[in-house]
Amino acid sequence: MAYEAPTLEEIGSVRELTLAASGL
Amino acid sequence: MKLRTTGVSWREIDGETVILDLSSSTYLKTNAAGSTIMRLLAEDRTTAELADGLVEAYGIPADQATADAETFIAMLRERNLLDSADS
Repeated sequence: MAYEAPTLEEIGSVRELTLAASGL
Repeated sequence: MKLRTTGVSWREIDGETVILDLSSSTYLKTNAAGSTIMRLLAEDRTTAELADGLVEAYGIPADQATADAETFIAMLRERNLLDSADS
């Protein structure tokens, strides 16, 4: 398996993604 | 050190880990190597154990694994995702 150093990134806020999921 | 267990929910999806941090109301994600460390941090671990996990999973040099594990731990700590007893 190709190795990439561990990363941690923010996807978004709960509110933002809840709105996205509706088009918790 | 280990992951905070209150206010944090996480699970693996397609080799990555998605994390819900209720204290900040944010979603985060890790890549595959981050997921390897996250799995280990479900229990109390030392940095050396995390580095060993990376060596075992990816066959990388031990010094690189140690440096990468330390960097990732710092990211988790910055996000307050580790058990407060470890800070």
